[in-house]
Amino acid sequence: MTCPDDDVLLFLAEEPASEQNPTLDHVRACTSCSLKVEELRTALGQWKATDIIDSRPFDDEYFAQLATEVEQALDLAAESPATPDARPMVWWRGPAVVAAALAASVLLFVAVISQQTAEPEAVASMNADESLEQMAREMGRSLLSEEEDDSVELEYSTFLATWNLAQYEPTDEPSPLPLTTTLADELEMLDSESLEALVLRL
Amino acid sequence: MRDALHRGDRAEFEALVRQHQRSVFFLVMRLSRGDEELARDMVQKSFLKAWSHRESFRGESSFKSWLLRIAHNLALNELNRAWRRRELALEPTDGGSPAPLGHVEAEALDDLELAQHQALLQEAVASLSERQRAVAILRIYHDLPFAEIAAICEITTNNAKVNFHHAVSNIRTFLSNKGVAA
Repeated sequence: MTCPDDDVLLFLAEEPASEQNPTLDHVRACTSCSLKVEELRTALGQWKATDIIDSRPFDDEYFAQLATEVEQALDLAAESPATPDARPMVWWRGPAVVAAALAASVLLFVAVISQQTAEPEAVASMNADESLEQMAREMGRSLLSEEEDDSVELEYSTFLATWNLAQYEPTDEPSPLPLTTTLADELEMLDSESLEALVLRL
Repeated sequence: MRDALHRGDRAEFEALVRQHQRSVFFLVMRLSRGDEELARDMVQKSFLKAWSHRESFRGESSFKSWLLRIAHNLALNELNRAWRRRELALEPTDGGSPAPLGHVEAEALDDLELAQHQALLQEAVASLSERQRAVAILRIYHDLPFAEIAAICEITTNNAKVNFHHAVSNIRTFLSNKGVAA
């Protein structure tokens, strides 16, 4: 039989020598193995005898007092409605604080999303306003120069398209772009506010 | 005993307190390198928890194993918290020797040698992994069979044996490196 591994020898070192098993028979016959087992047995015995704490100060009186303290703690726990494991709730775990934190998170999320969607709209609106202004100026110049109604009609249709785009909101149905119209027709279609705004721009 | 516990028999439980408090106290003392305050605290908490959860004791293991498992878990949690808070001085505080061992008075040479050996052994055990340390302490100092150690540490019996083997090997290596025959 080959020599057993160290872990086997360790458990043999712990077993009573009287126990019978084939490995133990080998160890008894093998000088190397029996030496290892003896070393392990000595080491374990030394460690056990030495201990890693000094237990001498803790006598019967000490433990009698400790037992009394445990019994008192049990009495207190029995009187208290809370279970012994229940810990006092810390302020940051209170339901109001958690609810406030959740609400703040939702608001922050909504604000971030709104900002992200609002930015392109603002840019588009700004660009539309500039185009609108430019278009209105050109239209004004056309009106002042008393050009032919046809050319005014074309420019004004472009103006309305730009106007509609500027007023466009994603949730609304897209308004149909006027493909053919006249200045008079469109002026009549405009409501008072739009007309006033147009005049102011001009 | 299980029935008495389930009935909520305080007298029976108090008898168990007096019977097993030393095991809990010394287990926590050894796990914590001699922190007496922690050991006292853990004794109280372990018994309070055992009492409040007495319904869950099924009697599959001994009451002592069940209680030591509670104490072991509580102590590890507390030690880990202390480690995070850096309240537990893991490094020697007196410039070389490990944490104080208690009331060892090294007046005689034998006592000095014993204290030095104890300190080195404590350091060696402290150098082990959490699991190896628990298994080694329960096996060497509490004389528990591997099946019970496995129940306390919530591992298999074979795992407990393997951990013990590694623990012994590591302690011997540590002591050998310090020039102590092991």
